[in-house]
Amino acid sequence: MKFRPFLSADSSAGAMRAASLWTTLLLLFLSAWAKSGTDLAVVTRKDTPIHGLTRQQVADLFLGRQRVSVQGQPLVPIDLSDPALRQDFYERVAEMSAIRVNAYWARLVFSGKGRPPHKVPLDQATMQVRSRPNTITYLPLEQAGDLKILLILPASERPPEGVH
Amino acid sequence: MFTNQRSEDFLWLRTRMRRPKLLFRIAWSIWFFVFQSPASGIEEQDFALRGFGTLGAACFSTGKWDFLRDERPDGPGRSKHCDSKLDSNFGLQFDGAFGESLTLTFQAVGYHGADDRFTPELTLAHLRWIPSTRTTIRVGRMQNPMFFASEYRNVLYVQPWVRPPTELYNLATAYSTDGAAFSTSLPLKDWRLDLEMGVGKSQFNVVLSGSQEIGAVKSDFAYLGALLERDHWALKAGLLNGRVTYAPSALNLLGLQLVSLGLHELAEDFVFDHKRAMLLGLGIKYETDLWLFQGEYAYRLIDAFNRKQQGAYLLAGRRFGNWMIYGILAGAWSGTRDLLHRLPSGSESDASLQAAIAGVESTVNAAIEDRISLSAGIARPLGSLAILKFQVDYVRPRNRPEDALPSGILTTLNLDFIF
Repeated sequence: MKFRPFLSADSSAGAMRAASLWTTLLLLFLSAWAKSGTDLAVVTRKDTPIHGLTRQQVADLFLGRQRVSVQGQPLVPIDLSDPALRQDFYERVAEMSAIRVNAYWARLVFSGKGRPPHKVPLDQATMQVRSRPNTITYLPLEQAGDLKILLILPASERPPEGVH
Repeated sequence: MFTNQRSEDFLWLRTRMRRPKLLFRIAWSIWFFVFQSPASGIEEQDFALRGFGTLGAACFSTGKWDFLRDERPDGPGRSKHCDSKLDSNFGLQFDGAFGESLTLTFQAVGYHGADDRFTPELTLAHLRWIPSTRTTIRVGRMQNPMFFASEYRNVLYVQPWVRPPTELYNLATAYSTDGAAFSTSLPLKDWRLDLEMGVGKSQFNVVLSGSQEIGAVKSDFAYLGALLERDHWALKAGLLNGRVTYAPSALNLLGLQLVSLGLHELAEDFVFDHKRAMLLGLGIKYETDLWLFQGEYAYRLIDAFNRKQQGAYLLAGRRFGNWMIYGILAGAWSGTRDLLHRLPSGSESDASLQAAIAGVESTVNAAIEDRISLSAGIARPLGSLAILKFQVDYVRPRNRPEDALPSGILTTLNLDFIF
């Protein structure tokens, strides 16, 4: 009787390929999970005379429900065009899916009662906030750099922390 | 039959295409002027051209009566089994911002109007000024905000159904309103209260029930609206008070006929000139990413033959991923029939009196829109700018002889989009 080795040279290579594939998939999954689990920060320029915002204020500001004024000048929100970050932000700040946010703005816009914040890519949003006072945006916490953090929206279910 | 249907649709398409071509040219001119101007900055997005529309078809199972909504002259049913004009529309909007506090909005919508054409109507044309963080003033043409979907009633993309329940939304005495409105937003503990008050004039054409005559409904009014919101909850209340004039010749003739017979009190009900009108609307909504519950009630009081009308609906919807499944129960009731009990019993030999009474009965019966409907629908977004909706309505007229208006099943397939 001829025994077949448990791992032949061919099957060993196949197993290596399978392991490599599984590792890649696992890494992809983890990176996707890590991306959706990123803490977000609501930021403004260092010299904007405001020290923190509540989650409700941020929601009201980005949903055009209410204006926030700083020394007589309105805070101008800048929205992001990145669908994943935008989805995360509105889910955390207002518990609204992207579809509902789109419908919400369409209702306001087409009744002539509001206009949505400018929507730009993350790098442009950061650049605009750095160059113009009284503008605010949101981004992954680790990219806040020298910007002033007004609110942290954690990835977990914990209530968001205001920065005062 | 099919040939006629196709030729009607073709004519409708030609009518529809002629008007939007003009609109498109105007819109393009605005766009070109705004974005080619050296003074404007595209990155500021201070000027925008947007649009919305619906392509739809609805079929009604009964051929005894038409399913109608707001100003439409006819609908699926008796006029034709299937109708592509019931919900189909196309709108263009231009928004301009001059700084952070002043905006200008124009919106034109082409829909199947009382004139049986798709003539574009200017539905928004106003300046919006935000003098402080909590107050807004609008002057010009706006949409009346009485019910949840009143202000965006033409934008079906943002609504959960294929069309607002007609049992309630047909009670509106004003749509496009020329006037001024002041609104303010106030925090109330964890709630936010938005108050809006305004004065204005409104005019729209309708086809007189039971005839083909078009009459203009004109109204002058003041209104107060309140919206109380917190997280997933919204409570809405609206009160409109004013005067309504509606004087198609058939109604005037009936009024004169009654006056000539000495029935002055009864005639007053049919001379529809500056009649007092009051509309009360109440609504509640609970919405999460999964669930939507919404209900509204309206009570309309007009000092005329169709004096008391009420309408209400309840909606329950559940989202399953991108799909949304919903059901609606709606009803409309009127006190119009009370008037029939006040009719004099003239002798059979008095032909003119008998004719007048017949005219009154006919007019009153045609104005009765009492009914109850049960609807089920499903909606699915196609990308981020379009939604496909399918809805089936079982509509049962009430307070009328069953052979005159039998129940019917309305089936609708709509594609709503924005751009």
